[in-house]
Amino acid sequence: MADKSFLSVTRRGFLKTIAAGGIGAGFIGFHGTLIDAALFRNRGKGALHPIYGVSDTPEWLHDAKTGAMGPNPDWMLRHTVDQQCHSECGLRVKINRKTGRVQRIMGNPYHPNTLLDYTRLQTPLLDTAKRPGTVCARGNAGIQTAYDPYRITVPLKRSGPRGSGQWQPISWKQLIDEVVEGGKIFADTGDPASKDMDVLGFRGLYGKRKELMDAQAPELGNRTNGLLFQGGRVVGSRLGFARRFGKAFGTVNVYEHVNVCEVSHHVATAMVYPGKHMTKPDVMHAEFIIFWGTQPGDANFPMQTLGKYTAQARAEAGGLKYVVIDPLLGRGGVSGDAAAWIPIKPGTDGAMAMAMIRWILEQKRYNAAYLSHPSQSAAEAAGELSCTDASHLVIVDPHHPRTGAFLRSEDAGLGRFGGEEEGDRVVIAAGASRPAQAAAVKTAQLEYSGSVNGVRVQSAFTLLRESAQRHTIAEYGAICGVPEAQIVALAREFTSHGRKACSEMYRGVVKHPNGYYNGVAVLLLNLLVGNLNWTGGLTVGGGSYGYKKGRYDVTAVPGAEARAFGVKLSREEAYYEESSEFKAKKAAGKNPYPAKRPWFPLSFEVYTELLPSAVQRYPYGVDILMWHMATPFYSVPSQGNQAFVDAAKDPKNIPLIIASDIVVGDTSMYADYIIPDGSFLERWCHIGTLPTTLTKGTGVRWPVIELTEKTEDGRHMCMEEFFIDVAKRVGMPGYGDNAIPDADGKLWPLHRKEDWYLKATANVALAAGGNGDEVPDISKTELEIGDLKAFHAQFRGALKDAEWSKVLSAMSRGGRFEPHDRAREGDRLTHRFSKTLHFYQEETALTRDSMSGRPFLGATGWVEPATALGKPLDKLDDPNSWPLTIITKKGALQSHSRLASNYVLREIMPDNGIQIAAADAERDGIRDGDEVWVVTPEGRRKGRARVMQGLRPGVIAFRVGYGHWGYGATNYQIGGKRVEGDQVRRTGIHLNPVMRRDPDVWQMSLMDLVGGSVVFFNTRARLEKETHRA
Amino acid sequence: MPEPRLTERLAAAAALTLCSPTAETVKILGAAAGRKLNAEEAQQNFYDVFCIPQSGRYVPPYAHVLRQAQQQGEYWHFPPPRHDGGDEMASWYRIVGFDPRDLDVNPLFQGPLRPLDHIGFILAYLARLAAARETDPAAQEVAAGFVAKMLGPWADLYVTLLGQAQSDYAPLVAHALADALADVRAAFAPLRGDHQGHTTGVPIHVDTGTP
Repeated sequence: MADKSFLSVTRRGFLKTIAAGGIGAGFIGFHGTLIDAALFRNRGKGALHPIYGVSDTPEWLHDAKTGAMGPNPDWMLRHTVDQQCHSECGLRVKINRKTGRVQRIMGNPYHPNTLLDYTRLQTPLLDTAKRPGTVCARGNAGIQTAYDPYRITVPLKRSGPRGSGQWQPISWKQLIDEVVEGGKIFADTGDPASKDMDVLGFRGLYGKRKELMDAQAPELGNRTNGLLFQGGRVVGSRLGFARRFGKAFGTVNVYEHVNVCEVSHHVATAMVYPGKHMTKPDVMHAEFIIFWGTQPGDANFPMQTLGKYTAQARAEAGGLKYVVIDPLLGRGGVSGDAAAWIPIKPGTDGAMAMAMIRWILEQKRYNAAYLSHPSQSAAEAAGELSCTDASHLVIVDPHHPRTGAFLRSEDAGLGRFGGEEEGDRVVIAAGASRPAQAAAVKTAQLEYSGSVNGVRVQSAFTLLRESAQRHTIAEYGAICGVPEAQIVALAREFTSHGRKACSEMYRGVVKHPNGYYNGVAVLLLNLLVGNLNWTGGLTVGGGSYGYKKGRYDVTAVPGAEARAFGVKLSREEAYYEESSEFKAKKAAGKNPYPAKRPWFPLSFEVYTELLPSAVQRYPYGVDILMWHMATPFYSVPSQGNQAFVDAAKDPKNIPLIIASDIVVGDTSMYADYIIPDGSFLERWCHIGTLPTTLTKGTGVRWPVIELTEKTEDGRHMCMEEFFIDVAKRVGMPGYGDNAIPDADGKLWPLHRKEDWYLKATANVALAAGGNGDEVPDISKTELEIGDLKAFHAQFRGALKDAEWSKVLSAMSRGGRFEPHDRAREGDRLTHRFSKTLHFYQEETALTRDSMSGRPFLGATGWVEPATALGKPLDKLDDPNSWPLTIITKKGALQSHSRLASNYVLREIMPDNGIQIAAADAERDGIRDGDEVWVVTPEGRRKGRARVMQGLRPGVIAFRVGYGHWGYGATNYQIGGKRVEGDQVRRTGIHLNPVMRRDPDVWQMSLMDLVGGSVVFFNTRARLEKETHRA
Repeated sequence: MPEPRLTERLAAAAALTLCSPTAETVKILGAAAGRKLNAEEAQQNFYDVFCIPQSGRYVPPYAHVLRQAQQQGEYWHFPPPRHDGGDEMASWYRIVGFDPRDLDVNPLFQGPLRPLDHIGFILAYLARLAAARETDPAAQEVAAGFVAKMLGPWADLYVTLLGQAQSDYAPLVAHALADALADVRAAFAPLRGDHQGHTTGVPIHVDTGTP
């Protein structure tokens, strides 16, 4: 019972006394009338400075007499690269010299992402004082990622069962001891599932480096493939560092996250533009762009730059016009004279693109002259900048042993050809109607269907036309929900700008079971107008300065004895038909299809298949799992379901799980150990600029601050130091005293991460250059501004003396970047791609679906989305019962799982909500702000309705990054002390855990079996209104 | 020394709940209470009792939390505060252009994600109305409606719990708050026929300058 005695002594004189004493004086501000009060002015304490208010002093000092700018000695400025998203923008970080604390983040004016006409590398740092670059809200907010109060700075070990939320801080030495030596390392946890387990540590597994995983299936490689590194956003040289560890250890299973992002985009691009994973428009000079499944200002490569270019280009008189094809209207899809929005049904972009292709072919609106050149030399002779295989003949005789392949000279009776493989293909020479080697003629027929030397063939062009003509434009329109007239109008507009029209795509097109085919169709529109390499056309980007070789070979592992080889756990880049499993089934007279789980011979980084494959031990099991910036339970569609989490965290399935993370994350909370990692401001990485940038460039991310605790010998704890110490302890080659070869063969030591990353920086900074891209020597002032003298002193021995000046200069500028005026040479782009572009995807055609045994399509077309065994999704979940389709949104404020700590962003948008089309909401009686349940065949989640007009009816959307259960969202204990979760991080709805699983494969998300993307946009749902408040 | 007006008294009470005590604050409080207070301890008390939910001594100062508080045995149970839990205050605040973000308070209470129904914000709002009524009689009407509708038993519960806090400082703040509540109820008694209070659309024709 509460003691009420306190109230009895209340006397109103008390408040009068203290108010008279001055407490609260001026507290509420201006005591005026209501009208005056409405002026909303802060009447608090006076500003500290008449201009800067209560803000910090500026980083530069201005001499009013001379006009000169000088550095403010209170601050140091360091230039690095952002990782709040994957735009990889250059940052200028303002750091308090006394406290070492980051005070502000701005844009690095040397970096192409931050300014249209970014600063030349030779410009002294001091001269950039008046013109910093820009970064977006996420970039500015990065301080809160680094200084997140939930950061972990020492190693943690679970002190209860996995996922119990009970942690114990441990020393770095204990961490290394236990994970290397293994044994009964969980005896102290009291966990019945693991306390008596004898765990194989790194030493034990490395000791099996010469043993086969399975003697009956030698293609699976050695036992060391039982080490799995599942990385999330680990890119550039940081991925290189991890891969090098994998190479030295002897595992092929070092992954980044790509298929949870949009690998089918990259695979489709590589199949059309060989070896390239992305193309982008020359936005500033294009006349017309179609943005498929994305829009300027939303996540892209890179978001800020593409948005900025588009805004600038459309503002020019007679400038850029564009169309956004996406179910959701974002801020970049603004309607008006310059932009239009076509709300397409999710997953049907391929149908719309094929309809446009059909119209363009039938109306002969394609660039026939360009397409008729069968080789690069013929194209160049005609003044073209690229060539295609549109005229090349493909074997279509189903009984021919090479059906689906291009016809070779020898097949055609033309003899053997000694030149390049693509020149050996056969075409029908224009005008002569006779077969010829592609390399031997200047022009060839586009249309051909007939026999050559008794072999039935068709040209790639004809195959595409026939594929396009499988449906009428009206039928395509019905599939994609876009009126025929609108499709035709768009096709007409697209073919009305010569080579200055581009078809550009991102996630929305490809994250479907038919994503690869959609992607290829969208890309082929570009080939029809011949826009590659032209100003205002399409580009593969300016490229980058490589970090791997040059002054040092940082990828080499001298003395490596354990060869990393074999089929990867995800069964990517490998053919099921070549496996022992397949051969054994065939030998036993069994139908080898379907495989237990799909194989992905055309794809890479199939991250989403790692955990279920490990649990099912298909094709083999995992002894040690490392997560780095990886959160599959949160980010992979359907993998957050409880049954799967329970299976994955069962120590019997994966005996040792080590995470490196900056917090106890949504997935790392299930690890055995957490290595404290540095935030992006504390890391190294060398990362090339993205293809929207037409010039060459490599950003250098380096630790501008370091916040984790130090090891006994003074190194800040992080993923790299963990690898180094494990490798040295185990005795792996490539670490320790003789680790990194230079160009002269001398071996340099690797005892700390800088020993490796500084050499990678030297490779970038000192690579051959010209045309104004040479890195200048660093000046005394620049050393001072970045406080780099101390850095140099600390790591002096990591490089040759002569290399330091340019290395420090590249660090002081955040990388190396070619001048912006090198982007174009008149009507053509400076950096051009010269391989033959593929109208027809031969490699795809020659690959079989490991589930059905049928070959994939070489000529792309409209393919209905289906499960792994081919059941159409509309038959899986009846649209009458499940009338809505879920899509995700990666907006400008919250595009990833990892920004939950950025409260300045959450203040702008505290809750994501369920975006519902106004028509759907009206039909279901849902008002904006209502609480609604999103019900899917896999479960349900509650959120707040956000009713909006800019969304196609039948579609609901949610922004990713909300609704956390880890990352500081819920309570846990460290050393017996409770850490309280923060409601802000829990707020919002996250639907990934209730997304559709493929019913044909255990715990597999719906997948694109060709391109390898996981499916985010094909889960059916319905809404149920909440009838009471919790 | 002239007796402080209502607006000043309410501002003082509000400030005690929203601002870390300075040495001067502690001195004044101590003098009023007739005892000597330690400034450092008072500051620690302030953080423990008013700011930090994990402290073990925290008493949530938010109306929407206190309305749902439940006593079981000798323990009180509070639901977690919601960032939007006090949004019902927004329409009232908007009438006079009152925005808690304009107040010079401890940063822990600032930012759009902080609930609007902190008792200190409410007292500051009423202080603003008390000042406004000196020149605009409509303010009296607004305040009366607000008190009738929004200032329920939760406020008294808060004062009671604060008075029991294991702290030298917090009970003195509770004294001040109890006085303030009594002042408010006396000054802004509901008008006849106005006991339902106002929600939005209060008939005051001012341009608030806010959307």
